[in-house]
Amino acid sequence: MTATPPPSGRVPAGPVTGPAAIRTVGLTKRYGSVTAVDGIELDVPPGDIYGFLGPNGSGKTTTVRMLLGLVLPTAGTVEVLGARIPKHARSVLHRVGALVEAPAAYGHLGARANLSIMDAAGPGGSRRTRRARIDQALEQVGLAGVGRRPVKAYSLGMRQRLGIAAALLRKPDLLILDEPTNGLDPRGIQEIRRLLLDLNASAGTTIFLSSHLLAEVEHLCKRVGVVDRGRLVLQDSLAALRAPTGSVVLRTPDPEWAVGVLDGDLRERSGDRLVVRATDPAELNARLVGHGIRITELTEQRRTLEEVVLAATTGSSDRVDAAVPPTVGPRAEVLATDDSAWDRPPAGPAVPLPTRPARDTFSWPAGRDTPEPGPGWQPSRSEPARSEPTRSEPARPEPVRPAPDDRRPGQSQPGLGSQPSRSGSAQPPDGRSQPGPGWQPSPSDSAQPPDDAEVDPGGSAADRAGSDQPEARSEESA
Amino acid sequence: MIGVELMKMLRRPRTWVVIALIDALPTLVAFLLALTDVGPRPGTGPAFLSAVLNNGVLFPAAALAIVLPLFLPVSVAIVSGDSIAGEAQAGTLRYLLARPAGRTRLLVAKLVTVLVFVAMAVVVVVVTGYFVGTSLFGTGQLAGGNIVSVSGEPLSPHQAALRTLLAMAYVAFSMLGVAAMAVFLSTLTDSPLAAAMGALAFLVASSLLLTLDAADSIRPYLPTRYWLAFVDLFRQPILWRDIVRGVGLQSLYVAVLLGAAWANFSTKDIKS
Repeated sequence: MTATPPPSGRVPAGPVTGPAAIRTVGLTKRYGSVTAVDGIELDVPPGDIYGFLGPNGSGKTTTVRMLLGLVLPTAGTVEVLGARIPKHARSVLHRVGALVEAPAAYGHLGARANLSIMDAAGPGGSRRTRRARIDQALEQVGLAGVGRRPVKAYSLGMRQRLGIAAALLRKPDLLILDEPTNGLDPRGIQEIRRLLLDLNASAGTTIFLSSHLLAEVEHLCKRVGVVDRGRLVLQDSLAALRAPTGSVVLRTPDPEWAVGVLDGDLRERSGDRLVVRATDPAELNARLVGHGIRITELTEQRRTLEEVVLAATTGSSDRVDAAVPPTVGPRAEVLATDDSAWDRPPAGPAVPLPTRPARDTFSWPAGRDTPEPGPGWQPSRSEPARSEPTRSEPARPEPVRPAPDDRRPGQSQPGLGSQPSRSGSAQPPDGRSQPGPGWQPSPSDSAQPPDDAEVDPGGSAADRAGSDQPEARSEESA
Repeated sequence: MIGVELMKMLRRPRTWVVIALIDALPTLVAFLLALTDVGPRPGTGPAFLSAVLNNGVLFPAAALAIVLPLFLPVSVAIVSGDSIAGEAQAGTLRYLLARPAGRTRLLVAKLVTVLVFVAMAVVVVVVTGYFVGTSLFGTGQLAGGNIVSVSGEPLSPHQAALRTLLAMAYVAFSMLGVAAMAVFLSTLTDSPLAAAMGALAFLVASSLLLTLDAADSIRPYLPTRYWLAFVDLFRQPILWRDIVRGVGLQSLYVAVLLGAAWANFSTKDIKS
């Protein structure tokens, strides 16, 4: 192991014991002239739950594949559990459980036969314990009762569970999971989340979770790395990223009085909702109540992970805008988007942020400090008929025509000039260019539907009877 | 790993369907011959068929001659073309390699599986050919149990059995060139169909050039040139010249194509 000091400015989370679970140095992958991954320096200590975030096409999956020796780096090194990949892959990868993009299995065979084949295909899977391990893994993911049904008859959610079972089969020291909850309904997501947290707590399993589902990462991870256009733009603990912003959000039925009392500390007001500069919410509360102002709600403002990520990244690379005249420059993208909370913040930094940005330098435009729950909630993506899960969001609002003063004189329809047939509309050139699909917040707390998604933490039997989960649960919950 | 791959092939329904289909054609031919009693005139049609009517012991060799030009290479191309590309298409390749199965090990296991498949197909064709042939055409008791060789000299049943075994080995070996081509293409593409079709195109091109006088100079190097040389095993004495050349040429194709397959697969970025 080369003793590479962690890059300056990045804070290792907690004491590092033994070799890092994952360490990459200058990891780079080029495909021809395209640089998919550009000098990524991952540092995942053992026992961590690490969230690897980034827009679609930002290089997440290529990085994951390089960690597993599937894609060979152009430059840089990969170390997994202290061994170099791909050179010493054979000595460590059997201690790594992986789910890469989608699960895969031999369709004509059942779950047990599939797991058995995969287990026998490499080192470290003892034949003696195989049956017991398969039974246990299926039990863990809630597929204990699948029987001999061939995998081709499985729903998307069941396949996902089977993929996770395959990753868990050898009780790995490191789990590398790419979108592990893809295709699961909210209940299934909750189950898998609980399973992962339990594995981390009881067995010390290091979990490397690559996802674009921010809520997923926010619920699970202790540390996050954010990758954008192949570069790691952020790597820090979640707690540090979500530090208080120095403001307090409050609601009051007496906004006028409150404004008078707060005077210069008021940052923003919309109706009865005030954003106030204050470091101590308790003190602010006492001050307002002292003046006889009634408070209905008072919370310390924290940046959500979503805000952090949106600030650090530059946009989805699956978003393809029409070619624009160069004079339009960086405004083009803003003009072509709709006005929902999902377009990137103006002047979003394209350069790497400092690890912990100074609070004052980070400001959101009015009304955006708590983005709308948004269109991201997906009501169970486990229906087998859905072939493209990432497209299952509800229809997005129509993009609005940009305000006339946004257009520069002498330039007709920026962003659309190359498409005369659409020149009358400000709609993006095709459906793919809508800012949505790649970047869903998914089932975040605020976006869950009122009833169905409320999951009983006790985990009753009824609770686990997800549609993609076969029978034979009764003995387990008893 | 080899055991795993063999199990995968044997548990796959397709393997048995393909073998049954390969087997169906010579069986159909045997029944038609037995029903009509009209054999092709000597020197025309597939090898041995004119002799089969007198002695069913030669039918296994005739069956090999029937499946050799098309059925066998098609099935070998399908199975070999599926070897790596099929796993890539199903998405299981990345899990096998991340397991880690080892790229070279996986490729070797796939090759062994293809070999076993070819051997199984040839054995099934010969065994059913023997039973169908002897039950429909008898064992030539009228001629004292001896078999008339291609060159006219009689062969004892013992000699005939030995030469049928040699013919099986030679036919199986002849298929390895196709198999190697399909495996190589299978490492290039993620589509098993493309790999199988590519290997077949290679064969069709070779067969076409064989018929072309202008291609005379390259004829000895075409992969299908010596395929039918197994007929020479039924001459008395055996005419070894073409058989030896056929083995040499196939070995060359196999070595070059498998080398290319290994070189490509062991350095390939797995993006499937």
